[in-house]
Amino acid sequence: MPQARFNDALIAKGQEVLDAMRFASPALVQAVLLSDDGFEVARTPRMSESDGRFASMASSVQALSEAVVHELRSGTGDEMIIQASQGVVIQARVGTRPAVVSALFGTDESLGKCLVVTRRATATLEEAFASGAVSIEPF
Amino acid sequence: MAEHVILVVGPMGAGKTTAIATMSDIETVKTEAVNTERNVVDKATTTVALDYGEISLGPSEKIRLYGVPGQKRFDFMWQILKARAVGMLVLVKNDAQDPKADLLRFFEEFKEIHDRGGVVVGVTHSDVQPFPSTIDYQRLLAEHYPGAVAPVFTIDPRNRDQLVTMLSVLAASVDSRAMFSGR
Amino acid sequence: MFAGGASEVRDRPETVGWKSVATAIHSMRQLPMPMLLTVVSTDTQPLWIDFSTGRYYWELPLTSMPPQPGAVTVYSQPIEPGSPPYPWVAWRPMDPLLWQIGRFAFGSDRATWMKPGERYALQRWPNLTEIPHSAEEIRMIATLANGYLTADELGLLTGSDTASAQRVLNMLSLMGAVKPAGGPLAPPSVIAQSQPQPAQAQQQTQGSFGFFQRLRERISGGR
Repeated sequence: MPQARFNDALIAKGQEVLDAMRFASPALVQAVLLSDDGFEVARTPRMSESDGRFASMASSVQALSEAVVHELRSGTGDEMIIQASQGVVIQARVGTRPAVVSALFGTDESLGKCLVVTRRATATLEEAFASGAVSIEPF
Repeated sequence: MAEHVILVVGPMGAGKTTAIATMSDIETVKTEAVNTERNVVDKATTTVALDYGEISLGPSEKIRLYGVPGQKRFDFMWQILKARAVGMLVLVKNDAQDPKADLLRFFEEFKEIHDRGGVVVGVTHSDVQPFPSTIDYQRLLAEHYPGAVAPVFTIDPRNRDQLVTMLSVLAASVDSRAMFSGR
Repeated sequence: MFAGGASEVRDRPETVGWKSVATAIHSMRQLPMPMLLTVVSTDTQPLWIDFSTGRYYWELPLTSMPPQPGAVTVYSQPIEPGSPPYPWVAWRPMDPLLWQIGRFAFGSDRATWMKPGERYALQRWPNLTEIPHSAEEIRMIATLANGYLTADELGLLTGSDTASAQRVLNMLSLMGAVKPAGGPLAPPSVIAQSQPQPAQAQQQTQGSFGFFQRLRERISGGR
């Protein structure tokens, strides 16, 4: 269960968006919305155990991948893909917000579909941030 | 290429990112994120993966400086980075809530680096809070680790001369230990 | 003399130079109760040294310290627990003062309390970021952290000479930063491996401090 670190509106919207990912792709194993500095905002499925460690790791990996892109002068990082033997992790920042979506898909989904589902999720969240419906405030 | 990996460790807000930027020959690689824990340390950003800097000692030798995130939830990065380190600089903030506990925590976590190489402790913000003194910290380490004689210096992480002193002492400690162990 | 109750002032005879001040400082360290040392000289401002907190007060910067002061009078008095002397003055940590006095007091002669052939090991590092120091002094202090050494041995292992090594030992001893072996002790095995041929030993030692030397050359011009 995420700490009461983030406001209810953000948690609720995050949960809604992650649940929609599961509906769009039954191959989704797990997805997390995390803050830039590695705290979990929301996750799906909700019943899975969480000690927050994955969110910390995801934030480190996000920061490192963006550092690599910056170092190589290749624009901005869009998505990061980790291809594993039993699935694929797709990770993407929510627009320019201090928030990241990290999702693990099983092997029975095409990479293209995984990317589309993840992009739709981050776009929806970006709209919510832009409209002022949600925000991330320092705790 | 001969490489010497040196870690810069310590709690959040001690000055690690600043210290690496001060020492590095290159523009440092930073992995800063918006800090949502302003109640813990009032900083706008925090390191979430590592800081990276370099000091070139010649065409075929360099020092690689890695700054680790200070929060325990990033300790997986500590495991990854400490494996290759030959020495480390531990920074503690003297006006933190319990800087002695901070020092012991990081010294214990990274003790293998002390055992195989060298450690130098830098105390920041001692102009704001003069105690504990450097002697207090040295006594603390000696109590918990009999036989350990770790250098402890007051520093400002923006002061290059002071960081040069820390690095020099670290290098001399690594060299002299190797000499005595016959390496 | 200061807020904190009556205390006994012990006079010392007038002496010349920092040697006697250093000897008095060393004596103060051996006392069970914390002391305040007051040094009065015809050449300079009074100096106070508070052994209870390890701090000193002097109106002038240490760069103004005369290498050879004229007549010096030293007073000492116990400090009552919970009553630090002169709380309104800007006390400073003692390490830089003792480093300076140690350097002026004995030069490369052995300090008056040190025995010939005694071995010393480092007990704590001085706060070098607040003390002007050389690369040679860093090497010597780092070497003393590894075992008990005589001045001769310290000079040998660091590619230096006995006189320079003795000077560093004097300063560190005055600061309480080294401890004597307190009895006969065999030299560390590294000594046998480093025995001269002097030219060879020099080369060997420079090789031993290779990382340090290359770092100093790169970032501080070898100083």
